[in-house]
Amino acid sequence: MPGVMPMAEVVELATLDENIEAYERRRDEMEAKYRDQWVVFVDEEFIEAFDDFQEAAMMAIRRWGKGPYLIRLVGEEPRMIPMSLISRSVDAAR
Amino acid sequence: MPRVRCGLPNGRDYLARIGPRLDVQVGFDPRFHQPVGRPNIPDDRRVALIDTGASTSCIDEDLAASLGLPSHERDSLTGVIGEPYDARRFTAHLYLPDLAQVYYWAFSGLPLKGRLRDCHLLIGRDLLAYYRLEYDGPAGTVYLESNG
Repeated sequence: MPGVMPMAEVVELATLDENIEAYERRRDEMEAKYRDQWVVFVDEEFIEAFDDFQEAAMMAIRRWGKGPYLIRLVGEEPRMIPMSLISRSVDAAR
Repeated sequence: MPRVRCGLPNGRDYLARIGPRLDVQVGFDPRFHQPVGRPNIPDDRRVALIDTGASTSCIDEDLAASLGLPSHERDSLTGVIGEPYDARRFTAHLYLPDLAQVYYWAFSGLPLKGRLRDCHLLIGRDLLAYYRLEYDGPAGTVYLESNG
């Protein structure tokens, strides 16, 4: 129609959970190649691996702002918080 | 070397009861992606408890939501004893105003409000890895010192 501009195409990136699923599909490969490194997944694609979180976050923010993106430490063990916080959190949930 | 005293000058008993605390500024600036400088985040100084017993730094989950921090990971946290707690991990710009240092930091979101007195954040060993922590119980002082 004359005088009507086409709307810009809005590209919706994959959600955090979809990026986590994409990671899980490639978990063996990630752990073989990038153990103890921070990997970034965007739109269900592996982007890059970094030695520390700060470098990974800087790149992700520069390219995708608020995301969504997954930034994961490959091979991370369960992390520890103080017992007092755990027990109070569980109590609060009851 | 940049150095900051962590807590009020109230001595040994106060330190034992309250713990070492640090003023921080936290937020998320999608236009800030350089290693130095100050991101455009709220000026509000938040009180963070320094906790050498925590491997990871935490933020009150309501505060994370009000600051609009993006979540970049799911989290499963555990205590010495107890059930794992499922949380979200948030990306934040963390600025230490007394040291003029900025970090891109990952905080686990937990319901901290009201559980740590007036503290809304918990600084764990992940951030302390960048610092020298000097704890003097008898004098009731704690200092945090960075190398650069």
